[in-house]
Order: sequence, then C-alpha cells, then structure tokens
Amino acid sequence: MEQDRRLDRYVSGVLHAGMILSISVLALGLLMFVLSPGVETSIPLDRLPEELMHLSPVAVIDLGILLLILTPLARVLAAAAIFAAQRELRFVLASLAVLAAIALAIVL
Amino acid sequence: MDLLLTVGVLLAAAFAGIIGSMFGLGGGIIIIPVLTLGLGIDMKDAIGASLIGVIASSTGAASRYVSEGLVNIRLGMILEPATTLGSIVGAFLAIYLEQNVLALVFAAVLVYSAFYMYRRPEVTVHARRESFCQYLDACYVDQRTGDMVEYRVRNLRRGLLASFAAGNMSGMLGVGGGIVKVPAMNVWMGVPMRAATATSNFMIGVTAVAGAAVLYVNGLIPPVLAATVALGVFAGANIGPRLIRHTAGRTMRRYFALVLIAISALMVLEALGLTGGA
Repeated sequence: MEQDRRLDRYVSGVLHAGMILSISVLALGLLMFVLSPGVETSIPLDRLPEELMHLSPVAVIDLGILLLILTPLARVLAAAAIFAAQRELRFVLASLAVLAAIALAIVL
Repeated sequence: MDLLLTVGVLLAAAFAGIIGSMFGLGGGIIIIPVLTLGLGIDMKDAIGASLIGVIASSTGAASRYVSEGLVNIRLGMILEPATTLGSIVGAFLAIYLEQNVLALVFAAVLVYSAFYMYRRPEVTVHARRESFCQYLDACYVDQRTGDMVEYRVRNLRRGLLASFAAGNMSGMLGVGGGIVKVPAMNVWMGVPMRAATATSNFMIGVTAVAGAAVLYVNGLIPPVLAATVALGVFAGANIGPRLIRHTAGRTMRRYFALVLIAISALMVLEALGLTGGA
C-alpha cells in the first residue's frame, strides 16, 4: 500500500510554518509586554491594525493568537487543494463543510 | 500576571503539552483544572486559554506526526465536520446546563472508556467493509520495529457519532475532546493505537478552532494568559512525540487507560471544586 507522501508533506509544512510563525509573534508580544506592561484585556479585531502600528504589546500578542487560530484553517485549505487536484471530491466537501461550520459559528 | 503565576502556568502548560502530544489529547482537560483549582484563575479565562492551548498542542504534535506518516489525514478530515458541529451544539447546550453536572457526566463516560479499553484487545482486522472506508485505509511504518503496518478503517458511522460527542465535550468544557476520539478510533474503527493518537492530535486543532474563534471575536480570550499557555504547550508538544517514539501500541493502550482514569478523577475534583467554590 502506497503512502500518500505528497499530502503528508504539504500538510506537515503548513502546520510547521503556522507553529513557527505564531510562536515567534507570541514570544515577541510577551517580551514586549514584560518590558512595558499594561492592561491585559484583548483588543477588538477592528482596532487591531491601529494598535499594532502603535506597537502595543497586547496587540502583538493578539496577532499571535489570531495566527494560531488561523493555522488549522490554513491546514484544511491546503489539504482541500490537494484533494481537489487529486479529484478526491468527498474530502473537498468535508473540508468545505468544516470551514462553513466555523464561519457559521462565528456569525451566530 | 505576576512571575510566580507565570511560571506555574508555563509548567502546567508544558506538562499538558507533553501528555497531550503523547496520547492524542489537546491538554485542555489537564490545563483547566490546574489553572482554576491549582492557580485560582477564573473559569472563563481558563477556558479561553485552554482552547488556544489545544490548538497549539494539536499544531505542534501533528506537524511531527504527519511528517512521520502516522496520521490518517483522510479519516481525520472526514470526522472533522462532525466534531465541529458537535462543538457548536455543545457550546449552545453549555448555556443551559450546569458545568459541574457536565463534568461529572463526562467523568463517568471516561471511566467506562478506561475499563473498556483496558479489557478489550486491539482488533486490527478486515471485518465488515463499508465501501467508503476503503478510501480511508492507511498504513504507517512502525518506528520501533521498522515494519509497515496496514489497517482497514471500519464503523465510520459510529466514528462520526463519537466525533460529534467529542465535539460536544469540546464546546461544553473548553477541551479538545481527544479523550473520546482515541478510544473510538482504536476500539470501534480498527485504527492501531499509535495512528489513533496521532490522528486525534491532528483533528483536535480544528475542533478547538470553532470555540476559540467565537471567543476571540468576542474578546473573551485573555491575551497574556493564552500566550503563556500556548508557548508552554508548544514546548511540551515538541517533547512528547519523542518520548513515545519507541513505545508499542499495546503498551500505549494500557497507559491510555490509566490516563483516562486520572483525568476522570481530575474532572470529579473539578466538578466538586466548582460546586464548593461557586
């Protein structure tokens, strides 16, 4: 039985990249916070870009959390792309179902 | 957050990350009781931070397990719509149900699972074949022996039901639900233990995202606490897979049963702590 190494490589790559990226941003944000502590409340998404421009530590941390949340979603998309290329439609549908469900949850 | 608390959180998170990445769990069921009962953190904050920790644990562990070929990606992604839906339903139900009652119910389920897993031997066969399951057949190389292990996946419907229940658990309690997924995959679906835990690690990131995303856009994830938990868990999740690299599936099942019992005890404590403290 052949292993599907291409799928494994892409998915593992996306997860690894997401991990490195979010660890870096989170660590940076925490370091900034230690150096200039402030209020620990999270920043609303619409205010995030502005706060990031002002180099607010909590904003950097919030960005890191956002990146972490987006990583599994990026994985679903990457896998869906490969399934689509390999014409494995059941799995493309499953992937879309997951994304739709999460979008629904946010909206509700 | 003061220094002592930060160190406590980091250690708890690292421990949860190690155990979680070894046994297919997100670590949430360890993190939440430790944060709330051990470190006196508010339950609402603990849940938000825990879900972020589960995503970290899943991402860290799965990036390694996928590259090792242990994860049955197709199986995981077929089960994910069920867990995501379960998570949404669970979150809604949680509004109407008492947290401590939920914790007790799940603790009972876990004890039942523990005995079931401990007593039933692993059965990797070619039993009833649902045609769809043939697409989920997979294989992996056992690192301990260097052999290729092939297996057929069966009982997809039961697996979907279990995934939905695992999602419920995630939405209600802020955990990953892996504690239900691993036995379901291993005992019902014929997935060998090492592949079951790896696939569970892979899946729970997505399960947790539904809850985490909702909390995040509503500003309910405490940034400093969640970041600290995430970093601790990432560290643990990179250590765990190395620790069990050469452990046999049979041994894993025994350890897992013990983990199940320990966690149900933790959940009972949590339930009592909630009634006592509230």
